[in-house]
Amino acid sequence: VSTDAPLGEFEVVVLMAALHLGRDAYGSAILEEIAARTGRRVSRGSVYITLDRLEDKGLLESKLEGASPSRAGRPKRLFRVTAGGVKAVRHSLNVLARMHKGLEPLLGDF
Amino acid sequence: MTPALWPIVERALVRYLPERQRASTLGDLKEDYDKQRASGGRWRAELWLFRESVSLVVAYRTARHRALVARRPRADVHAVAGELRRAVRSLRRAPWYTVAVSCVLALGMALTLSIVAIVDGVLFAPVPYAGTDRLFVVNAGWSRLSFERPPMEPVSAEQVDVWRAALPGARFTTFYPNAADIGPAESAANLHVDASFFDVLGVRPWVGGFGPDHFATPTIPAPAIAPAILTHRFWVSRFGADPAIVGRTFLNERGRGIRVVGVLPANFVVPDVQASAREADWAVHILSPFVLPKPLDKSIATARVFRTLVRLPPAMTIQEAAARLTDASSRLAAATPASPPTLAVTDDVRIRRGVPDMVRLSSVREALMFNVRQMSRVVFWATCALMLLACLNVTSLAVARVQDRWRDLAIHRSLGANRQHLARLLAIENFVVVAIGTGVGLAIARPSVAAIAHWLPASMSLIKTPAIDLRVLIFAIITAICAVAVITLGSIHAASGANVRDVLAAGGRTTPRQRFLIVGAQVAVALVLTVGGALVVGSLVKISNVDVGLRKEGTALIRIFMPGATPSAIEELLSEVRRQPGVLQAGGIDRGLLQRSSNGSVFDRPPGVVQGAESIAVTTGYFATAGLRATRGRLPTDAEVASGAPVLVVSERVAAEYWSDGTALGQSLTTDGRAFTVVGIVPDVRYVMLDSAPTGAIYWPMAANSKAMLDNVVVSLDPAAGSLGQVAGWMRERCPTCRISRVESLSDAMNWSIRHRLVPTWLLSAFGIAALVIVGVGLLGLVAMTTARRTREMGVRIALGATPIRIVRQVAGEQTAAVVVGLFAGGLIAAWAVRFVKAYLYEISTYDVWAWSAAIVVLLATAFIAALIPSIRAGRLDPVQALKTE
Repeated sequence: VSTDAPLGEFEVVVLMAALHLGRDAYGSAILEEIAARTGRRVSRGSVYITLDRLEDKGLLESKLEGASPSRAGRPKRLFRVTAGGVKAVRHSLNVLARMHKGLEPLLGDF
Repeated sequence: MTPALWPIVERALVRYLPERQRASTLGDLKEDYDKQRASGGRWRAELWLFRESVSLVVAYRTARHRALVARRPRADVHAVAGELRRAVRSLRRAPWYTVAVSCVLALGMALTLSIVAIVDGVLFAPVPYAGTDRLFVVNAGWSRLSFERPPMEPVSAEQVDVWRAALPGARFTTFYPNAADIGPAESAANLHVDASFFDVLGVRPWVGGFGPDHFATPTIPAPAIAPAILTHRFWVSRFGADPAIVGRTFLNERGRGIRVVGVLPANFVVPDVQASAREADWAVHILSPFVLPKPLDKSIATARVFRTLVRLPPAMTIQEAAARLTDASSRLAAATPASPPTLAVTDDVRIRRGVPDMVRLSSVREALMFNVRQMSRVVFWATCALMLLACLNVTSLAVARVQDRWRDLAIHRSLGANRQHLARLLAIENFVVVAIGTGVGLAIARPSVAAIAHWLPASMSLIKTPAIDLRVLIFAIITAICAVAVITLGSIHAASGANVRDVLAAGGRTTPRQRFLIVGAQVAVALVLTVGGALVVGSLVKISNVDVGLRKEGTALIRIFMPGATPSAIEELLSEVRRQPGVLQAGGIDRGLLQRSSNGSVFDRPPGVVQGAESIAVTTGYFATAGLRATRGRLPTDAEVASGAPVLVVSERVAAEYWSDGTALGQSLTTDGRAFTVVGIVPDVRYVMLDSAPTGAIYWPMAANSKAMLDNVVVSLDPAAGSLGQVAGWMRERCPTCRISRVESLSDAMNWSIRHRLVPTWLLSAFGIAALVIVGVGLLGLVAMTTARRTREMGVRIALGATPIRIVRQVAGEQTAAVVVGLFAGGLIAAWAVRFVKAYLYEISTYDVWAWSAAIVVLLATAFIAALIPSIRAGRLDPVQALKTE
């Protein structure tokens, strides 16, 4: 899968949530992080599908660890943003910043 | 406490979640579910769990479906390409089958597409005006007459004004056909239209158009140079699609003519069936404006020349509009004095001369397609029957081929191919032959459409030009898909029993019931088409044997309009015509000959007589030219005719109907108070058209009627000494003010008068012949393939002492029952279906014994020969070679 393809808005949001969470980024935590920061409820299905896609693109890595009784003995899938992921997020934000430039009187500061 | 939903959700999600993500996702869900229960209570948590699990299932199912769809096409394209290659290889191994099937389909497709290209312009193509659901033709009629013919009866300006007043919210447009000069001795059919014409139709000229100044001044008397918009067809055919045409002027030798101000769109249809009927290419050439002067002279106001369309306002129903128009018309009719009672014409004619008192609104399509809709429907359904026959035929061949490949198919099945795989295999093979047939059919259809279009009757107005266009291509594709479906269904049915056990047990014997049904159905459909063809051909034979009543050899007609000519000027012109090289005789009459028109009579009928007659004013030389001789009494002398003496000659029908006691000679008839004496009786002549009964004729001298106008010059020619073209050319030079429109031999005029019969006759007989060919090829191929498969069996029979004749009888006889049952079923269907060709029959019953017998005999002979040829081959088998055959 090519990592050059431009990221969608939701993909950027998921990657940034994972960056915020650092070593504790796993499915439920990312869902909560997005809800807390954006104030909007996102569907669990779309988050998991997006995580899979970003991993296929090489922008995320995952590993299984931390099985516990509270999870019925099932492990957590912890995600880490790769260097490519960071670069892709930076690129997307740069694009937005360039588009935003000159629109400050209309849109306010970024 | 054990959660209620969790175990169910867990089991369900195990099915839907991908294995890689399953454990961690379920773990996340369980963790969050417990949090929900702790914070929001059990029921809230259950609802939350349900919602989250649905979200997960939907997301993963959608993702999986997208991934499959993204992957599928490439795989399928490769598979289909491979199967196509296999199908082509398989068909190349059976060249006779491929050629026979492709030929049958090509013939069926070519005929079907040619017909569809033409009837599309009648039955299916949309009328090219805007909002046709509110646009109607205003048909005027008389409450005392039936309302069937003709549509768009011309009405007066006075009548149109009354209608406008009766429907204030509606928009009317009126127009009338005429002719305009566009050069020396060159005129074009012209439709005069009013200022609202384009608005009411909702169309715009393609280039240019009329401006308000074109309708600013009255066009009576006509301006020397009229602004004109050309039809697209005329712009292309007459002016070579000249891009600088707008602004050019075309004048006759007297400086009168047209100035081109625009060109109509290519798909424009003149909304006037009567105007369309005038021109061989079913379209007027130019449109020019008309404006009536105000106040309107009474003679102009009451002249019935206008045809009218109305666009109703949205709130008004057709019934309401028709009722209000009828009411207005009947009030106008009541206020108008009736025709003079002394006028000696039939009641119908007298009523028709009065003001119409009824109105019916009909859709534009109904009015435009009035003459041809029924014929188009018959031809279209006959075409569908032919295509069905072709499909049945190909199905029978395909079934026979499947049975030939029984062993192959059985092996396919034993190797794991299911019904779906076999169906796909057969469908792709059938697709290839149908595609070949359709391609060849399309290639043949192109020239055949042009040929049929050339012979269409002049009265056949079409919404679009006949052509193999996108609509016809779409029809071809749909037909081809249906053909593949029909043929494949038959093949699948035959192939479904193919298994190894049957092959080993029965050696792949045929399924007689299926073959019986297909052969029977083919014969039935073919009989319906053949009977239709035989009936119309029988009619045409009868018509061609009809005696028109005039001498045919060397007789020719020149239609002429001599404005303001006196009887003596007419006689002078004719005497000069007689001196032209090659002219043996010449005479003139005041009516059209074989032009499907009837003028009625100006003479009073004897008391108690109801039959009408035609009064025909003749010049000197007419009787001699036409070959009319007196059967009783005498013909008037040239001196009597030239001087307008009060003498009459009547035809035998008039003599018998007016004076049934046989005392016609010496009787007298009156017109305008003058009495004319009958001096002779001549045979009846079919003046109106060849296929209608002769009308009774009353001949009187043209010189006796100061208003008589010469309409046709009849000449008797010696072709060795001069030609008709030379005579007409001389007349144009001799009389520059005359308009000479039709120059033709009497035989051509006779053919023209029955031209409306020729197209259905040719088409239906072509269908009959095509049906015979298809059945012939089909039976031939079927019997040939069946016998080829049974070569070994035949060999055993011959080895055991069966004679060749017995083998032939057996093979050919196997088809007899199917053919007989097919004939019986087809006979029943044909007995019902012949009602649709009744309108095209002339003096022949729909159950004519000769036509039916001919159809059955020809069909039986075709089937017999088709079955006999392969049977004879089977009878000649060498048993030793046959037994070696696999």
